[in-house]
Amino acid sequence: MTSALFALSLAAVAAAPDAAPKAVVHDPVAEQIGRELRCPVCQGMPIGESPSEMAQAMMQRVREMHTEGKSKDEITDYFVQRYGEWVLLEPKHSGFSLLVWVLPPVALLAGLGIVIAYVRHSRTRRDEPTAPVAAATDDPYLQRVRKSLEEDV
Amino acid sequence: MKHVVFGVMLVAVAALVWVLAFGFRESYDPQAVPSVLENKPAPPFALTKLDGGQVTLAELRGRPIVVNFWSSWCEPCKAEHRTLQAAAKMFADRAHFVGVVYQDTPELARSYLQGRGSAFPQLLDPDSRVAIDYGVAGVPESFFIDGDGVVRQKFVGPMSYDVIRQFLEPLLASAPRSTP
Repeated sequence: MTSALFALSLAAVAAAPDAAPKAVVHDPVAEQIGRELRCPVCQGMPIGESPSEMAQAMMQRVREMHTEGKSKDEITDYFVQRYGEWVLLEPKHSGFSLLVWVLPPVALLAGLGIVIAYVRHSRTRRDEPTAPVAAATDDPYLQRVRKSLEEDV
Repeated sequence: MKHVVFGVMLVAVAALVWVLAFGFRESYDPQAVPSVLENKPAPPFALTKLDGGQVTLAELRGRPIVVNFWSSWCEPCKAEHRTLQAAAKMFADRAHFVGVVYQDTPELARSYLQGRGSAFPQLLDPDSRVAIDYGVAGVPESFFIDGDGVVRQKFVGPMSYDVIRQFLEPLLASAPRSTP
């Protein structure tokens, strides 16, 4: 069934000359940018990998801009100015987005610190001498108990 | 020490819960993303009308403009179309309405409008260039542009008449007097 539908859609594309896909020139920079920009009509997919028309139109725009001589940063900024930083699959290494990069290692170090502190604290408690027994002998009641025990033995 | 550890863990767990509950919402719903174009100059366009002739953003300046992106395959657009028709007639002398056909063929767009009518110009956007310029992530999406050509509001989804009035009326009040 699927293959029949696929064959049908291929036949439809072949029959409609206007719908023929445009020849895509291999452009490594455009492809790299395509992997970094989020497709706005998909769920967390880069425009370079999405089959949606919108993503393909965006890819086409990326290629055109690169052909016009725009740099990678200029092209990325163009999309950020229209879709916001949301369009970047990898957050920027500046401003508020920097937190995304800084917080995980900081949290990891803090967690490690807490574990080390906890282990040291437990060790210190374990190594601490127990309550001085000698001091307890001053208690006249204990002295009597001890004496009576010794007598029993 | 125990209190410090407990406090740090409580803050960490609260932060994690917050991130899981709200932090990823925008990532998965493109339409929840606020437009970065608000309060910025509207991207210029010069598009061909479905029935011939050209419309540019520059020639519409002076009055508030409602730019509506729609498509014949979009179900919510159908209900919105009736509302837009009514609003365009109601604000006919005070605001411009333009529709931009989004990822559709001129034939399908024409046949869609044949039964429904069109009280305002419908423009073709080959290669979705203008849709990309406006940061469109789906249809219907509408932009309210003031008389000076600044985007004042973006609305995602089908608009009711009250929504159109709510966003358009403040722009009418501040529109320059020398309207064409």
